[in-house]
Amino acid sequence: MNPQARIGGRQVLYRPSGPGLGLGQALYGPPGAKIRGRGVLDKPSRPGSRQCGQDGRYRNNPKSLADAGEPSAAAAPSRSARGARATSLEKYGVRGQAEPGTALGASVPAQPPPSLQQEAVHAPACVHGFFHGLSPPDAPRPGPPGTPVPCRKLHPVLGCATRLLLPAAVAEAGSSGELSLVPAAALCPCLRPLPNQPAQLNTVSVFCYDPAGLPLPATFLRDPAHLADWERHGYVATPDPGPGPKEGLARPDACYLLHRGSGEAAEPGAQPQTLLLFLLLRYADPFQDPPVCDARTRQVLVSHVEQILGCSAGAVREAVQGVVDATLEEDAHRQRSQRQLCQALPVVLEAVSSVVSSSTSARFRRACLQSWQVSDTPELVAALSGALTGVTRRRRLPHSSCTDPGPPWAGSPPGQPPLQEEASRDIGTPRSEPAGEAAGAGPEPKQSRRASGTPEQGQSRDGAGSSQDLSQADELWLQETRSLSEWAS
Amino acid sequence: MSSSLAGKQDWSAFSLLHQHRASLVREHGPSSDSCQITSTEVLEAIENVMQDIVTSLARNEAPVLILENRSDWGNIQFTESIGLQMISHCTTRKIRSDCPKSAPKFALILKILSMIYRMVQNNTYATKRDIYYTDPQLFGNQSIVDNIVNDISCMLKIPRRSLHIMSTTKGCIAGNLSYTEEDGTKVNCTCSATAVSVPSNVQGIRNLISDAKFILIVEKDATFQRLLDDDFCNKLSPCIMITGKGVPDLNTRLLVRKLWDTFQTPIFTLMDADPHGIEIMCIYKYGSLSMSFEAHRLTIPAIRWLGLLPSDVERLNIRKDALIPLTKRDQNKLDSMQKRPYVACQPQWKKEMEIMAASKMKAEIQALTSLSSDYLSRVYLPNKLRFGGWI
Repeated sequence: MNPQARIGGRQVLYRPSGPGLGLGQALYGPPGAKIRGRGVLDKPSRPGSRQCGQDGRYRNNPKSLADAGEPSAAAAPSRSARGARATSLEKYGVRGQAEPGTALGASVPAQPPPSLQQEAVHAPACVHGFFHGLSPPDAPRPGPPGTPVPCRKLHPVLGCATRLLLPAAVAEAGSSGELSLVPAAALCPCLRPLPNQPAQLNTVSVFCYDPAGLPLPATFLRDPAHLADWERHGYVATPDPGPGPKEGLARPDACYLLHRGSGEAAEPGAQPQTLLLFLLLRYADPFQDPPVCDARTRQVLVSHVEQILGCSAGAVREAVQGVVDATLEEDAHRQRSQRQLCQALPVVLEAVSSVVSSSTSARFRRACLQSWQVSDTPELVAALSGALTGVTRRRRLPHSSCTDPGPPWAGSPPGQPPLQEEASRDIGTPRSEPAGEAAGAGPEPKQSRRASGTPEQGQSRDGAGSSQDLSQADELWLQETRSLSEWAS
Repeated sequence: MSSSLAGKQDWSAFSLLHQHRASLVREHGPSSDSCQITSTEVLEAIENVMQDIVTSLARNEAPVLILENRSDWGNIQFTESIGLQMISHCTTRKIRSDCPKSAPKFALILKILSMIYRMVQNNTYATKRDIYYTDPQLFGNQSIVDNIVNDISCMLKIPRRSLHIMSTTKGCIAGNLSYTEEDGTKVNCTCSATAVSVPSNVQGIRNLISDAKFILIVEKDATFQRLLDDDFCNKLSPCIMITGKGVPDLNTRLLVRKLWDTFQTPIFTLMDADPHGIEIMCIYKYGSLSMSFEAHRLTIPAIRWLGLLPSDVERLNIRKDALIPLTKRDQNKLDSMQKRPYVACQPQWKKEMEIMAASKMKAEIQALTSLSSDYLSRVYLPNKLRFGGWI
């Protein structure tokens, strides 16, 4: 019997997960129900030990879930933890829905290209599950009070599942299944809550996983041109000869350095960002239900990975290009918005200083100078300039989809982006004004009405903010998330 | 008020017009724009805006500007004595300086405020076009400047004229009127051959002299020129004719309001019998949505609709081929007009709109030429004025 469930408002048929719990096998899992299949640890055993799954296969147990929960500086889970993370997330029936490419501001189309949108929804739930709960490792630790902290999570854009051609050698080796690639990309750290914080994208880290969820290194990945056309976004990508990620962080299968083609220098104080590319191989075998990527199949894949990727180089590049475009377009939109802001601030400053300097009102000049404890207009203008830039950069969106994700399916259903950034978001009233007027500025009636549908109360949305209208599955999900975070800490 | 401009028309037959004038004076009485805003008050208002920004930054907060929503019918109330007026506690919107979408508008508002500040200090004036051309690349286009100027006027509660921003004038006036402009120039509108442009600084004109028995607001320039050619101002002298050439500019409305405040002369409108003509008349009489915050200085509820009435089209049996079917846009505008708050207190206007809606036809003033070439100035207008054909 195929139980039914809803992912983000969309009816999805589920097949009970098979005995094994490898990333590629547990294609589906009923929502919220505890997957008590084999290989599930009731309580954490000694980190680092090998764990025999009920299907007779051994898996490395993560040093600690916290480790798994904190992907490497190169922003990916440590190698030994990767499979474990997927398993540990599986055991909690964690699955979620990767957010489709989201527009930061009004001018980027709210919907990423339709093909990306539909495919992202139909990608297997486990792939979503892989990302849910990952948080960037090198997100800066909270600095002095008032220092804006980026979002602590990744928001991957999921690409289309692309079929890979299997060379003759692989077929002769007895592998009768079908192999497909699901790419995903995410910017790390995520700066959506800080729309005005300058960012500098300078590295790309590529991680390739086989159907069993284990790393699958390949020299094919070392050439940046194999994965995407970086000039399309104004970048020049070169392999990174450097020593690799910091201690304790997972080594990516390939790392590139990104430079601006135009040679423009980074803005002072810009937050370094990394583009994470995940290439997830998926194995399907019509003669096995559920398809099992056993050790022999994995060995065939490892030994023929260069041929497999080489045979489907075009398809691989097209698939990866889609997610790279969606991710970097969001970044490009962010930079366009920041340029618009940077053009406006000097005009503000010049207007204020021209009125203050030409005023003959002693009251007005004294009030302005005293509020900044300065003695003359040039000093006041210098102080205003720094303050205006600082207060603008530190702007934090109150209701960004990052700080308050809520249960994945409680968010906006796929195809409908999270609430757009608005000029006056905290007014929280439905938009009634034509875009032509102060675009993005919604009206503020006497009593500001809460925007409908926005989970306002979820400030401390750590699973505790249950409300009546959440369905039973949501309650279970919140309980699971709470126990996951308790176990991790 | 001296009567040096005697006319030829025998006005004894226009008793209804005299009675109408007497009733208007009793009903409306002089309403002059008493409250003059001084330059010091304007400078202080701008300084307060700048001071709020400086103190916000001192508190480490992103400065914001609060603007009233001028294009929201929810913020408008209608009173018969004034017309469409902005309510006191209306919805506002916040223009943030730290949001990429609203930061440009925030910056342009402050830029124009600083330009106004300098103009008021130096007692110089500029039109909105002049402001736009100081930095076209920064402002983007003229409508952005026009919008911001109205937002500033509404935010500070100061009329545009007191902000030393003049409107580009497009209206014309002719007839029994003379006045002196601020720079001392004497203007006499009596020479009937050509019309005089409406002054760009209506607030500054003085020594207005007129014996006009009525003032005729003409919707279109073509009709205005036709009446000039027919020497209408002399045939029915003393009278004043004025046109805003379609939707009136601010100065034309201000001039008509100034003539009313000064002389309490009956004011009639001559519009096409179509929804657009009715809407233009309502702007003169009750004001517009976007300028509702200045309604008490611009509207003239004493205005009456003289022609061309839809019922006149039926009564005069104008040929069908001289009429034009209502377009979809006309019908939508007619439907929306019938729901406007001011139509409810004008049953006769409502009836005329229903006639137009039922006939699904509209007529231009030029349709009267199907009866005879000078029917408008020789027969139609004199009879309408003589027999009280206004509503």
